[in-house]
Amino acid sequence: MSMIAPFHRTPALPRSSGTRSAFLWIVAMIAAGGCDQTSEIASEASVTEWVPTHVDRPAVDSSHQENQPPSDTEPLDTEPPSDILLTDVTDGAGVSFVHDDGGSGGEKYIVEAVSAGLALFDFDGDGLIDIYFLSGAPLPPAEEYPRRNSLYRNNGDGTFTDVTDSARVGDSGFGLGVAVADIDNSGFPDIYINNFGPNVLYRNNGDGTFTDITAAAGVGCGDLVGAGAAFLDADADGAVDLYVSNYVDFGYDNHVRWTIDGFRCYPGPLDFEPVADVLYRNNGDGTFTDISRSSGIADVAGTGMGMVCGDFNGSGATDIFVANDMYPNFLFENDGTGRFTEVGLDRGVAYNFAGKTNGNMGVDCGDFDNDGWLDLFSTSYINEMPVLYRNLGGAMFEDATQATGSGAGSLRHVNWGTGFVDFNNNGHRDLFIAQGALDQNVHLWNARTAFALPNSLLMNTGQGSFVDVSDRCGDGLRVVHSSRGAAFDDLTNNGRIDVVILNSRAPPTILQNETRNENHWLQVQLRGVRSNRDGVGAQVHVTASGRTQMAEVHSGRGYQSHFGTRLHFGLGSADHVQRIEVRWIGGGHDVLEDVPADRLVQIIEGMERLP
Amino acid sequence: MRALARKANRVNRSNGGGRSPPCARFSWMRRRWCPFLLFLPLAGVIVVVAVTATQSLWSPPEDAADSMGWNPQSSVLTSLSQPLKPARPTFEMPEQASETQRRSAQLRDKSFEVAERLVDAFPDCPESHHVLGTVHQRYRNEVGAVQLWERCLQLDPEFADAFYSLGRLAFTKGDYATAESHLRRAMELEPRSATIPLQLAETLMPLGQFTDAAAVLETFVRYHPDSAEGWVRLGQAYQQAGDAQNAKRCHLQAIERDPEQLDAYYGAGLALQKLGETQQAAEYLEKFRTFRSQQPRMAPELSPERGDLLRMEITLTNTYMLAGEIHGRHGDAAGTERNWRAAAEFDAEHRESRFRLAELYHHVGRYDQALRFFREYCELEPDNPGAWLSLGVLAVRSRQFQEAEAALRRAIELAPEQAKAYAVLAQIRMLPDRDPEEAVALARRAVELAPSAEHFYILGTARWHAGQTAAAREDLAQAIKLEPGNREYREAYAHLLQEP
Repeated sequence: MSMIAPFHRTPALPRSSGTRSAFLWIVAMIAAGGCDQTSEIASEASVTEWVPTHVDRPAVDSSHQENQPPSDTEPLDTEPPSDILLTDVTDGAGVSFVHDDGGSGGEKYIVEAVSAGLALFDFDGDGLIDIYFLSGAPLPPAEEYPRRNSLYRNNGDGTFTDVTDSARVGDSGFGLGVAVADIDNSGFPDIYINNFGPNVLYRNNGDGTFTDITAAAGVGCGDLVGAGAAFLDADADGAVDLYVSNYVDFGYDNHVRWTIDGFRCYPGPLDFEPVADVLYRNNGDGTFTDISRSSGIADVAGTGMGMVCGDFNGSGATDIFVANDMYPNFLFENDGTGRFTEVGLDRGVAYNFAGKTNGNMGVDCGDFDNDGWLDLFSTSYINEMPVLYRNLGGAMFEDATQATGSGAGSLRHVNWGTGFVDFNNNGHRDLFIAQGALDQNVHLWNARTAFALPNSLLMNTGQGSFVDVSDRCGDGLRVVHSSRGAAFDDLTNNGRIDVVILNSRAPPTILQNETRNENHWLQVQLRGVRSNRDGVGAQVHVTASGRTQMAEVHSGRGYQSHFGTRLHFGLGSADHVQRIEVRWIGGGHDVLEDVPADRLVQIIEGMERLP
Repeated sequence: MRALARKANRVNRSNGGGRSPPCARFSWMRRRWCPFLLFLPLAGVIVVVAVTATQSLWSPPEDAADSMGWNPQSSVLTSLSQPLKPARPTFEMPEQASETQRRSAQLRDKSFEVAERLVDAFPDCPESHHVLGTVHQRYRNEVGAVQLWERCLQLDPEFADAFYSLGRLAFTKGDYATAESHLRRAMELEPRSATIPLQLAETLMPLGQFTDAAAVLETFVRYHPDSAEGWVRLGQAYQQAGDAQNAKRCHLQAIERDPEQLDAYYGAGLALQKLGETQQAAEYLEKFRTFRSQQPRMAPELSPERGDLLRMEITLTNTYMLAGEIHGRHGDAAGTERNWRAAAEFDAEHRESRFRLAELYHHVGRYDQALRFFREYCELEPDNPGAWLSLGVLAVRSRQFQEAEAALRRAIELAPEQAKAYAVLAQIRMLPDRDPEEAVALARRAVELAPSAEHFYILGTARWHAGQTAAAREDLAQAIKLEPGNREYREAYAHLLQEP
């Protein structure tokens, strides 16, 4: 068993301005089992750091069946067994954060119920994924209030340390959404918080501290009710731009009091006017310019909740999907220059299959059927199916929820955070859905749901459908809270994706992925040189055992959250990858061949091509 | 009231007597006033009531009495020992309860009280348990609702509504397999239902059984070819099954039947897109976008709190109405009257209770009371020609000719193409000291609009009153030609032949 070693940060590379021959430079790999078979690749990388880390792969437990990717030609006669095992490890993790929204003395302001998201990212560059939680706050704001956003550093041993004060990221605004990206290509990820009230941009100083540069950067975004946020390189200039989604035009003066059967409850989005979202262009000098009008984003107003950016039509430019609450979703198609056209209806993603608007909450994209196109999954309100929009090749999507079984178990509940995640490394992305009602007293008028609920996990059968395995994948799916944001990443660097969930008015939940099988995996971390430093918007195509999977780097996704900057690929029984192809934003293209599995590969844009 | 019951008995005997199949009996209820309307907003209820009211207004009284389904023998069911009354769900009332909360509690309690009284009155009646079950479901006691609906099936194993309710509840819980089982059974019992197949198809969709759903809906549109909703649902099933060609066909059928069917434009657009007919697809999607943008996004005419109370009030009035209905089925006209009166008194603007009470009193010859409720109904539905016509007809029977004339003229003003109002008004204008010439003109108009034997007879009579005997003979000859077996026409014609 090899020891855990820190993932040393390499200095930021100068930005290349020359012709981009397809160079690729492996800087580091986290190898499995002592990393003794890496010489060929390592030898090509002059500044490569080989950083062995432990991969605590458990012995195969015969009680759990290995979940090899099923053959495309072999139909499943019976419901496939679940080998996914998610264990609740919150208690021992040292996380004392408790989300709160102030409660407003029972006034039930609409914003309370929709708080908040969280971010998983490596803030200090030690190779371990840290956690940033958002909290609500009293409404109207109070002078003294103990709750605030919190940053927890991953200690690498299953525990976390609250570093909010030392990092200076304890914003006490009313938190809703969060996104993370390296806005100045410094090599250190920065944080944007979308609040009810002024938003906040924290620049990472690279020494474990952050500086609030909101005012200087010009991204405070007024006094709106925020929602999701995302960074994207809209104009492919190498600097990430910022999309800020807004919810509704709520203020204390237009608060609406609602009752159901005489019981007080939260109002809905249709009680308020929709609000246009905001797009900021990164000027590259630490400031941003509001280009909402010139970019076409402000042509429409909606009730934004979750959002995700991605290249949905294969144009090479990043598009924007916004899940709207009881309003048609937006799909802004990018013409490649940062000009957008809203095409949700024409592409089939504005409504569900019946032409109805859903109370959309969170959204993630991922290639669930491995056809090379990003699909979308949007969670929704009570008595509505979430919607899986299958991408039919860029020009059109179809609602494949019922055909794939991806609405199983969700109809009765409000669904929030979500992610396409391959929990069992079988090469097929599963679906996690966070659940919980808005109202703590919902049981007084609705017998089918509850404020606090277990979350839901749908396993991808590999044959174009999902099976609800929530009741057979460990105690992690028995935790009962009213969940909101959910985020997914490998907290222990063992090749299995863990889960962190922000729960409304409660402590968070941390689920460790203890899936026991012999499936292999690969993680890819991109470092842009000409592109933005985190490779936001770049697509990676990984081919193993003849099957190609695709993933894209997103900044801001799910329910107003951020996760997954390091791309993860389950490889099933394949112990090496035949080919990794990176398509960078702006047109760059790098290829790496014959890479061993079970490691994190960091790829630097445009460096040396390996044999 | 005894007369009313006797009349009901007579009607039932004339229909072959005995107990009609329970499903047939209760299916009438669904057509006329579905218990699930308990959950609909007022606007929907008004529409349904207006439609049913209009339909009934044009029916002769005997049909209406028949349709009320009074059947004293229906209580001869196998008796299960006691009425089933699950405990009501409990709600803690805060000490500082608001007026809304107190009012809500009263409305909730009253709905339970009415439904429980019904079960007490008819402990072996599946319909009464069904109503109480619906109230339990409405107030989130789904366990109690299921117990009651299962009791319905103990009382009558072929009670389709219970299967439907159980299926629908299972569907809302996401238990599609159970829902399918119940709904298929309901479908077997009522294959021509206007609601069950739609719910069954909706249940099959999340199970991925799109072809089955399409088959169910194909049958549905055969029975209900004018249902735009049926065609839309069928189009959606085909779309999900990947059959874009049939999806397109069905959505276009829906649009043909209802050019304002929003969902059909969306479905047609998707189907056409998939078929590669992009230009047409864009046109349909644009129409969808346009129609949708014209729909009001928010409709807060009422405050949310008032709207909430209103929904609970509707639940209570609907419970009263169903209770009245079921009393009527058991031959207890007094119970019917009591419950419908309670609905009318509780809600001064409740249309259906007034209409039904007017019908009820009309049947038993209590014309003054019938007139009162028809008048109130007309006040609430001032633009409903059927309401004014009914008031006019009833006023004629009550010999309130002035009121009758005014009502019929209003009916004509609202529906100038409706023959019956002209015909009735013509009869009033023939009365002594009135205007026989105008009667002739009115009757002629009735004949123009609907050249029936009855209208020729009325025209002939008017002409006779106006001294146009020869023309009157021709009209009566025409009436006899159309209805050769009518003795009254022949006698009148014979009388005219004797006149110079």
